[in-house]
Amino acid sequence: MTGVAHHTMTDGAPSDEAAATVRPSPSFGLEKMWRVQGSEGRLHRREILRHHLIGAWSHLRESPAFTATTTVIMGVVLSLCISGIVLIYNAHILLEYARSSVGLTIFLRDDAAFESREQLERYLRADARIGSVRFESKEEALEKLRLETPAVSSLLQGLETRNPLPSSYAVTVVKEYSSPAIYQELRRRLQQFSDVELVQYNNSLLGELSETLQLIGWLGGGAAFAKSFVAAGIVALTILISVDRRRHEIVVMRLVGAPERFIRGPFVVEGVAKGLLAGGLGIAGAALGFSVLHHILASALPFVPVWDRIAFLPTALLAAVLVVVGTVGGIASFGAVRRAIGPMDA
Amino acid sequence: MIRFHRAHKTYPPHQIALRGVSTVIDKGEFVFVAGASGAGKSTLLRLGYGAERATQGEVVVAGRTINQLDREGVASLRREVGIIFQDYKLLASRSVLENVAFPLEVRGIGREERSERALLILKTVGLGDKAHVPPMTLSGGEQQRVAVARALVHQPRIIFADEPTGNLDRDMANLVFDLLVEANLAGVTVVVATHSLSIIDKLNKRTLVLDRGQIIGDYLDPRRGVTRESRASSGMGEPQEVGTTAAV
Repeated sequence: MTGVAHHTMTDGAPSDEAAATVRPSPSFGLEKMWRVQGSEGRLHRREILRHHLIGAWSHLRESPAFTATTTVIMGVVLSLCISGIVLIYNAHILLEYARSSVGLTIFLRDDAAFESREQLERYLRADARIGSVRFESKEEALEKLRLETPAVSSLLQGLETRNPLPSSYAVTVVKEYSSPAIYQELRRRLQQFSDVELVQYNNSLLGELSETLQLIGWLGGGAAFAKSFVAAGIVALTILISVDRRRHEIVVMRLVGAPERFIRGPFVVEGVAKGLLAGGLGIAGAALGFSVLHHILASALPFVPVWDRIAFLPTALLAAVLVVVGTVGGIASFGAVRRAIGPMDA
Repeated sequence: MIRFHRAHKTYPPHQIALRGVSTVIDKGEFVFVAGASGAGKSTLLRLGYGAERATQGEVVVAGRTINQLDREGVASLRREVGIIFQDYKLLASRSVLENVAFPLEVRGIGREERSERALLILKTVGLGDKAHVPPMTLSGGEQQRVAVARALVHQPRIIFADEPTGNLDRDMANLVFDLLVEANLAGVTVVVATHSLSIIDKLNKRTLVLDRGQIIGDYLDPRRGVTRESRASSGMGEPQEVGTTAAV
């Protein structure tokens, strides 16, 4: 030990005295083993995916309480988010309904000539924006009034000879052009016909309804957007915790030469899985809330004619929500794991 | 196979771990890196397997310049080397067999083959009957043998072992070194950081002695105190380059 001992000093190595009792080395057969070449191996996509799925599953089940708590919290946030989407969706449906219900009524003068009526009708039918045109004579108007107000039908009997109701055209506008601006323009033009007494449409109702529903849509959309960020933040946080708990495992993976995608993949799959689970919970929560609220409102306000039109999200939209939520979960996890694993030792 | 050329390593803020280390370790060599705690042994090994990058100078391992490797490059290098630590670094959540098979798994070797190969190496290190137990139920010596098996299972070209017997008793330490020597006989280059003179004396392999980040001795025959320089000056031939820039 002469040479090395000049330069080194031991820190109390346990096996110092062992040198004195050197025993013959056993043969383990490693040399023979080395001659047997194993396959080179190649990471196939299927193998990597399998590794990611197994890894993510083991992460999820390792701490069921943690997984359940974070998933439920995300589910609650997402159910609020999905409620916002339900709001937007139904605001859209109601707006369409309101637009389709709005029409123009063109009241004619009592002395309107047949030719000018025909001219007006030709003009209406030639306009591509006009959906339907229906003429209603004075007699038809009176009959309709009689049917709609049976309580006063006896009073109306005396009016048959001197009917005060005007003949009119009921006009609807095709859906694409159904906006307050178009209605106003049509009204202005039709008002110029000499035998037109008055052009009416429920302008203010449509305008107010549009504005209200648009506001609801914006609020719902904004809230949904904000909550999706909150959900993504929760996913990222849970993945950071998950990475921290597996720091040792990640270091070992790196030491044996695991590729980065091999290390990060299970965490990203975990994020996607948590996103999908929470998305499913969120949909279930939002559906339940919608059902309860719909029932309460429909019972309390039965005269509002929209309850049969309001609906929960269609299946395609629900599937899209799940895809988005899963993707957001994956992206949030990818960002979190990249941030957490990047500077890790080894 | 491994070349350090004026390798410096400084840890922030100003802790100097290595000062211009230059040496070459050839293919198939068994080399000890000796020195007291804080001499720079572990840093030298960490530079070798890419856990650290030299602050200055160059480290080339198996034809790859470490400072130029990105993360995937380092991972690729590590698939060709085996690393053994004093604290074993085994995964508690996996069985002994799964731990040993792990390097094969990251290489994409199928489940059946990797189980076969892992079991074979476990039998070789005398732990065939412990394949399916969690590693934490094993003794320290057994855990280190699992770590050695994991380092050998993919038939690496180089093994870096950082104080592999620091926590083991005499018999277990001997057993681990017997395994490393036999791997070396099979053609594997072995670099072992140790502060145990007895093991160096017993095996009498080339020994680099580090002190305060510098190589102060490169012994070809440590038992007789024959250094590279003394052998060269006595006309016994051989050495290529090798030496220390700062130390001797």
